Amino acid sequence: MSVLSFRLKGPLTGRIDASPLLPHRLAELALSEIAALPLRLGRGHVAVGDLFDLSGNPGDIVELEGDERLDFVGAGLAGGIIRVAGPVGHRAGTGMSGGSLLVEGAAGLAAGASMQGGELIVRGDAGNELGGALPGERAGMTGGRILVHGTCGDRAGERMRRGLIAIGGNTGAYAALHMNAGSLLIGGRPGAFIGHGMRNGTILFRGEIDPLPGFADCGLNRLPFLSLLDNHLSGLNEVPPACRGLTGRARRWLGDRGFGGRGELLACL
Amino acid sequence: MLLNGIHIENTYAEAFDMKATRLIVTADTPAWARHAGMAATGFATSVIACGCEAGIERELAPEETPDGRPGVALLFFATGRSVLGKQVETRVGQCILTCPGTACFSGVPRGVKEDLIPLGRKLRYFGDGQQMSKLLCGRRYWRIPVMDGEFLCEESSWSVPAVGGGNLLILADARTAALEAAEAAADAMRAVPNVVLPFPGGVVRSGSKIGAKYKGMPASTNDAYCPTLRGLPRSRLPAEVESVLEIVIDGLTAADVAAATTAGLKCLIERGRGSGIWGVTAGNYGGKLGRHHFHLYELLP
Repeated sequence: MSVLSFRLKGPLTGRIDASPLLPHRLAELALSEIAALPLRLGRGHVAVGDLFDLSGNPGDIVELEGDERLDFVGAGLAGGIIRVAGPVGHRAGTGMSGGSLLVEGAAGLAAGASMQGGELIVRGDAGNELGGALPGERAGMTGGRILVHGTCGDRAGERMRRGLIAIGGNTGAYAALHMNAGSLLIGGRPGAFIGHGMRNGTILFRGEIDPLPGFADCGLNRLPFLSLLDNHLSGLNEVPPACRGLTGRARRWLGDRGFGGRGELLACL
Repeated sequence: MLLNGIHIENTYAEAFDMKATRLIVTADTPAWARHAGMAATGFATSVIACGCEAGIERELAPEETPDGRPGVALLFFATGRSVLGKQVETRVGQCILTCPGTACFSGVPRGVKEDLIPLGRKLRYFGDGQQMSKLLCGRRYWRIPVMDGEFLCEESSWSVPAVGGGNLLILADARTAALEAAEAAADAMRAVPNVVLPFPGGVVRSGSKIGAKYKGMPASTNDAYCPTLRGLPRSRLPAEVESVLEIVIDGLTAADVAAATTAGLKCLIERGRGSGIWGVTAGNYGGKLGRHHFHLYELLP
């Protein structure tokens, strides 16, 4: 496996669009060609070689030194692996359709928004709109999985259509806002207004909550599906440990009935 | 050939290409998984009139099943994919969906669209709009509300090529000796993976030949092996044989059927002439109907 490493030469002077640094787009290029690629910096452009020291060989894996001013890291990733040592800026992994993006630090706004496939792992915290919908898009995430070890901001999984989001820590307000389908697992505590406007899909967490009035309490149930899901998680890498073991008896709320929805909130005991 | 006093006839079992699928049925306890498995594979001894041949392949420990509960693996065999699909759909709908606490999964690798066997794909409509689906690792599962909770069912299974109709005929001095030998051989053969013995207890007493003197009868009694007809010229039984029992084997591959045949032969030969077994032979139709020939001499242990 060939690894291509990008090490920052110094502090960034503005926000960088790092979306061109995808393994499958760089694999056929020589190091000198990659160093000459333009990256958007604010309103202008800067060459990759001016910002980063490059080492290794272009191939399946890109290693990137992280910075919270690096936006669009892994956006549009279709295959291969990107490992980021440190944090990333906004919209990391947006529109991913395959491959794996591992962020060892925190992620900014709209990480994994409109994701279609692949795997996004954030070992730190994630900002608002995690796995949400990009502006103008009717659906949010339509496939793949997002695994966040820390907490996340508001509106995680907004308009989600398919796929899995697992958050190890707490979520902000309006998680799964207008969710259409898919699964959102919360290892910590869910924030306010969870599932507002959801039409279908599953939100799974631990402990009782006081949901919005649009949710009908269907009482305690023992669902074999939860064991199937937990078995599925056991086969994946980097699942937040707090998202495991969400099995056994669970209280089920059905809603959001104010929107004709029949999604579910499942609160494991 | 005489082995341990038992006559092994130099002949072969003739078996046919079939289509098969495996289902994994789980429940809260092994007993309820067995209930569901027994019902779903009931009345499935022969494709002649049952539509399919089926059986419980083996019991599964909780760590072997998708939802971590005890279960059973079921194998279904039929002459083609469409009739197999219809049989499986009806049997899952009437025998597994109805059984308390069960869930149903495909037990074969994901196949192509042409091999699809619908499970939850059609049964989900029982949920009357309250059903939910989940897509995990590219496989879709349906959750159908039922009176004891939820019926969890994978959307579809797939048919795989299979071999049906492998067989052994046990010739014995008396009915009790034949039955004891057949029970022991069936137990040994069931231990082979990927096979089922579709008849009651794995044993069949009404072996058949193709055709009959009556119109409309596709098969009739195998009179050459009926002891009450030993005096007739076409009888194949020596005077001392008073009872004949057959074990029919369906397997996912010819190698599986061969392994089960060897296991059966080994068990019978070890029991020896002293147990009342006179000989072992196999049924065939002259080799023209089935592609697979299992020669007893080649499969001796």
